[in-house]
Amino acid sequence: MRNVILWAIWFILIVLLAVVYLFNNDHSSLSILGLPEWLYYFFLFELLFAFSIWVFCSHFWQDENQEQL
Amino acid sequence: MIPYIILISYLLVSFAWGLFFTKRPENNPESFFLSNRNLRTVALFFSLIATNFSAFFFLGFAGEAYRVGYAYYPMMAFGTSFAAINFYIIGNKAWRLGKQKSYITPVEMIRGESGSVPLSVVFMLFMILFMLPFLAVQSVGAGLILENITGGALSYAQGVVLMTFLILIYVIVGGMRGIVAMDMKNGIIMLTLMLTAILVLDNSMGGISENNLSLQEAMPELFVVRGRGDFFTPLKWLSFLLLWSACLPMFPQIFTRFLMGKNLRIFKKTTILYAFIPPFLFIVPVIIGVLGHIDFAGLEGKASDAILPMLLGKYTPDWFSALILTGALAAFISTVDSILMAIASIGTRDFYLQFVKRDANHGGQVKAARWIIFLVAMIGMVIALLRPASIFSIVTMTFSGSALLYPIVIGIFYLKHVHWAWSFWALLSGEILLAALSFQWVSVEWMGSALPVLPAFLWTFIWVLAGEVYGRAAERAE
Repeated sequence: MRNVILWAIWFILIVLLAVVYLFNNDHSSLSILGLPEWLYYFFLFELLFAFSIWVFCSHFWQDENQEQL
Repeated sequence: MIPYIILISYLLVSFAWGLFFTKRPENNPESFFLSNRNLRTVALFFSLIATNFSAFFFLGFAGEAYRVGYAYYPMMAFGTSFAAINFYIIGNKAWRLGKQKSYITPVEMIRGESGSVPLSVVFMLFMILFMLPFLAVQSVGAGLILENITGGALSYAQGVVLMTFLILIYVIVGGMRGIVAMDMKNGIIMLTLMLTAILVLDNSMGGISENNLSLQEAMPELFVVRGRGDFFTPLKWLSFLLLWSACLPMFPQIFTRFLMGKNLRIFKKTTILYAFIPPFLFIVPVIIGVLGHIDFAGLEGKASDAILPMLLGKYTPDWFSALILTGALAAFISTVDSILMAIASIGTRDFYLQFVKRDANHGGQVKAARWIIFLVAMIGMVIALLRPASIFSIVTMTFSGSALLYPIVIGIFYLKHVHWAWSFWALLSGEILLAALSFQWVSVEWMGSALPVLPAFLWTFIWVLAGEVYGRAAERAE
């Protein structure tokens, strides 16, 4: 259970960081392909997000669930 | 003439694929509804993607981006990626329980694990009720696409009827096996065609970079993180995040996919792959929608949903436009067939077998399922033909309603002390609260910019948790 709670805290932190940082900073300049700079920050956050899901599925939750069953 | 050839070829190949190149299901519920629970990673992944990404991915998504701007990308991509975690939390347990206890439908699982018929009936009613408008909207999309491809030669109504009956044939004959075969083909087609569309439009419109630069000067509000007219606030953004991630696993056609993997490793790989798709893919319809302002400025409301066909019509030959729109048709088909099958499995196992004919044998259940598929398809078709003006807003509300099923499932799967009466009350009162907030029967000013689903979801979850605390205390007292 400890692993899952730690993971959940990490996950919530990523989301909050994404929201707080991006909604409070001006990234209106354009970047590659003429897309706004903030969009690339979001993209990076999402990749981090997806990798976190990978870690969760591969290690934490599976062990936890096997204990329960 | 070429658009017709493309359309007819697609339809012929599709239905021949679904009907003749797929092994027939055996005459038992497990085979007919779940394809014998033996899907491998590629089949399960494409089936999940094709079922989840509806005609909205092709048409509505670009339309929303036209209205909101680039801010629509993170909201949708985060929410859809986030759903993967819930797919795993719920799907992992559902797969195990399904395998151990031979559950075929989510409702059956709720009934079996909570031991309550009333709770399972309410759960079933909400699950099905919320899917019917979504089914009808898919048919509306198909009618519009066919009308567009044929340049009006096929009317909207003819398109709806044609597609409904074509899908009915292979779903009734092929069962879930036919659907999965179609999903794989349609999943690959829709992803390929969406990427092709952006590449061709980029080339013919003179480059994405150049167009974005000129558009930013003219309409800078399309490029801000909050979206046009401050559409997204952090609270609204979090509401959408919660909405997508909680409602997607509660769609019966998605929940059914959790039970169909051959083993847990396959399900895990599918979930991880799914999480990586939205960040890469969702930018495509968003770019198309935003760049639509260059040639079609000032579209209001739902008119902007046609921005992709409009751009294709302006910049590409008819045959290419028809080809891309068959991708939208593929997205529609692969969502509708799965909804039909999911509702039919619930109707058969949780209504017919429970309340009409308890001693129905396997063959009898499959026969009943075929009739239910027909009946549900007819209901969806009639709603689509009537096309009530409020259908799209109803769909948005039903998504929120589906999200409220999530705390109930979590309670039953992981909180072992919640008595069913607590879950029953939590769900019923949560749905009533959602309706009250959505229709503004009560004051909603206190919510700020949050969507009604946020307080309703928290309300439902709190009651489930309260049930767990009470259950534990009662157990200790005993």
